[in-house]
Amino acid sequence: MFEYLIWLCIFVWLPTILLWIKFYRILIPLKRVFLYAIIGSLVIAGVWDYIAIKENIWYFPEGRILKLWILGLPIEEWFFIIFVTLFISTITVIFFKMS
Amino acid sequence: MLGHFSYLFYMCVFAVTPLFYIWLKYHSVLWRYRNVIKRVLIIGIVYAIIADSIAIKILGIWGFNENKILNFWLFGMPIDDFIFAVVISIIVSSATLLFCIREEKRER
Repeated sequence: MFEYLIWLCIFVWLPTILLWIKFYRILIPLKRVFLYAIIGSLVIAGVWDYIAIKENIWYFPEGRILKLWILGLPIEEWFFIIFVTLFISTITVIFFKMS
Repeated sequence: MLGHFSYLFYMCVFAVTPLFYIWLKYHSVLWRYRNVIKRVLIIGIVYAIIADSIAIKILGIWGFNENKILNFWLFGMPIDDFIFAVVISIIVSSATLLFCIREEKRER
C-alpha cells in the first residue's frame, strides 16, 4: 500500500530536499518560477494522466497505492506530477545560475 | 483504435506539441541555454533508468497495458516511458528557463 509513497520518498522528495538545503540561496529568490512550472504541469499532466488511465495505457496495481483518488488520479500520482516537476525545475535553476 | 501507438500518441498531444511550440517561439533564447538543457536531460535519463525500472520491475508501482505501448523494453522500462523521460526533461527545463529569464528581467 505504501510502495508508491516510499518510492516518492527515496527518488523524488529526498533528492529535492537535499538540493534545496544545499542551494536554497539561489533557489528561494526564484520561487515563483517553481510555482509557474508546477501549475503548468498540473494542468497538462493532470489531463494527460487522467486520459491515459481511462484508456488503460497505464495502471496502478492493487495494493501498491493508498487508494485515495482525486479527480481520477491516485493521490500519489498528483505528488509525482508536482514533485518531479519541482525536482527537474530545481536542477534546471541550479545549472542556469551556474552558467 | 490507436493500439500500440496509444502512449506515443498522447505524448505527442500533451508533451511534444507544447515542446515544439515553446522551441519555435523562443528558440533563440533557449538555444543560448542549450547546455543547461543538455545537462538536465542527461540527469533525467540516468534518473529515469534507475528510478523507473525499480518502480516498474521491483516495486510494481505502475504497469503498462502491452496492447497500448510499443512493447519494446529498454533498461527495464518500455521505450515509450524512456521517450517520456527525455521529452519531459526537455520541456520542463525549457519552460523553467523561460520563467527564470522572465523573473530576472522583472527584478531588474
